[in-house]
Amino acid sequence: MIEIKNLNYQIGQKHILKDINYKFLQGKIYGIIGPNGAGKSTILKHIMGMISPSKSTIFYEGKDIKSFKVKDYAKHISYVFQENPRDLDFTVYEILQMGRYTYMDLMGDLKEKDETLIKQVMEDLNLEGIRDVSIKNLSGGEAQKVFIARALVQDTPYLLLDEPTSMLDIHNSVELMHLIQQIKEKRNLTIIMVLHDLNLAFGTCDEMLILKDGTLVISGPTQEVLQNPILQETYNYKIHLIQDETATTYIVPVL
Amino acid sequence: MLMKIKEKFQIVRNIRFLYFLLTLLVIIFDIISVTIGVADITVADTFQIIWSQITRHEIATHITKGQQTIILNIRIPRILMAILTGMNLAVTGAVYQSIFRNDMADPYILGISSGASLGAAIGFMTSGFSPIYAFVGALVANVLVIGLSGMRGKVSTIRLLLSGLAINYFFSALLALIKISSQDKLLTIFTWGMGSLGAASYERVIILTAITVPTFIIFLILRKELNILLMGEDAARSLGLDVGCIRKILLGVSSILIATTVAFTGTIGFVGLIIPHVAKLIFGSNYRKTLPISAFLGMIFLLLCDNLSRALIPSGEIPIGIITALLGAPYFMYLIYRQRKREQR
Repeated sequence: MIEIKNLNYQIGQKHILKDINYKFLQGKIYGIIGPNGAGKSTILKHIMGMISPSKSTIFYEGKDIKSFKVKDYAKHISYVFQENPRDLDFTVYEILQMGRYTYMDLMGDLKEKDETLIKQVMEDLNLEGIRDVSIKNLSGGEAQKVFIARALVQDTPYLLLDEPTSMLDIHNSVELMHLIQQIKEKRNLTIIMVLHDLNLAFGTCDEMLILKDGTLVISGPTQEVLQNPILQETYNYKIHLIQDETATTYIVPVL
Repeated sequence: MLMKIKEKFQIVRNIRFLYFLLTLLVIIFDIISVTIGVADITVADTFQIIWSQITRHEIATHITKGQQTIILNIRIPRILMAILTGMNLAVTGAVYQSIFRNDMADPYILGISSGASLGAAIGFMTSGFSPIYAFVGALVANVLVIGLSGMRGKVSTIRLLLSGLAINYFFSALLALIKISSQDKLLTIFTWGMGSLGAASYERVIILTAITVPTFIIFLILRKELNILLMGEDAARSLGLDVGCIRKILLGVSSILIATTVAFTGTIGFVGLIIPHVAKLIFGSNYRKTLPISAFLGMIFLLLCDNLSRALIPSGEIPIGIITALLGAPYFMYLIYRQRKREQR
């Protein structure tokens, strides 16, 4: 369990996050949504320890995350960035090896079980065909998959993703969401994602957190949050909910 | 064109074979270098002098004592110095490029060499052990670069280059002041300010080797960290790397290496910029390969430059820093041009 207790964060006079309290339980997909500048990514950065407030606010399995060594923490939580370096000339395999950094020996070599794990992740994500291709030469969708694969290679119970679909087209975005659901089932992961697209979020996540101006305005199971009138207020825009024949609900902004 | 070169090199799939080839190249260049120089000594005589030294045999009567001294006590230590210096400059360049996540980062361009140079000059004037003074100078320059250009996120090229420029100006001005105020030792400081292998001796080769070997081993051990640093500070942290700690180690160790090198040879520019760049272009970003290949290419490049510096003017020698700058500065311009092109896209 990851617990956030009384998280406040401000830069200068500006409050980025205000009194956030939340518990992420194991085995679910969480979606964090909200308008631009609501503080979504800042929450993830706090959980990763990339922003470290003076007070203890984030607890992993009951322990203050400040008490973890960087190397140990990377064995519990992995992170996929919104943007990843694409101008480097590393092969897909070399990128995945980095995911096992904390398990490398002094000279940077991996044990056989680490290699097997990398191979397994490559199979799951269908990356064997591009194993030795440089990330420079990959499409946006392929590259995003490689960096998700690297996080999976870390073999952590928690996986955090910061707007994983922001650089992808509709087709790749939907495919990626399916993949995330599959991974979650197969590896029994807890996934926390910041998403921009409401439909992708509602279609994929079990639980939703909605932020506005640094405050957590609603949280709960996806269906409940979807019906909540506060959703419209959050975005300050009129939104229609439309159901198709499979009873899936879609959010359509009124133009 | 580049892709073609790359494909050609990929034929050398076996990396051990590649290292063997590069070692062979270094040896060949050594042999060629020992025969080049102002003094009129034939190739056959050169080898005879070396051979008689190894086997302790009698030497042919037409070879003078002076010729023997030139080969054994001037050319050979100079070649060894060139190898070590080339390797050190290339390797520290590669390390800096990872620390700052920027292809233009290089101890010379960032002013670290100037700092070391100033330190060494002060050591020289006060008759202290100049590598230690150079180390302090390098550390001060490092602190200034980090303070000015910042470290978080991808360091902007402009800020990095401007910081380097300012630091270079400042230390060069101080160095000029020292030069002016010390008439008697002026000439030595002048040539050494341009970079020169002329002052090579076995003693210096031994000291430099004693610093080079352990630092290179440390860099080889840290090549996985050097790779991960390229991913960016936050990503490196999420992969389990204590970025702050590793950066301090890398900067400290690099400073020792660059300080000792500069104290003995002066500031030889651009090697740390060109060589790692070429290595990455052909063999990829992985420091597993970048580090050793940069080391080999650095050796070969500096030997080549040293030969040019001795052979271009029949009556004397050009400071090696001028040769590396003549070759390196255009390459630097090309890098800036390429970056502009990329930004326009």
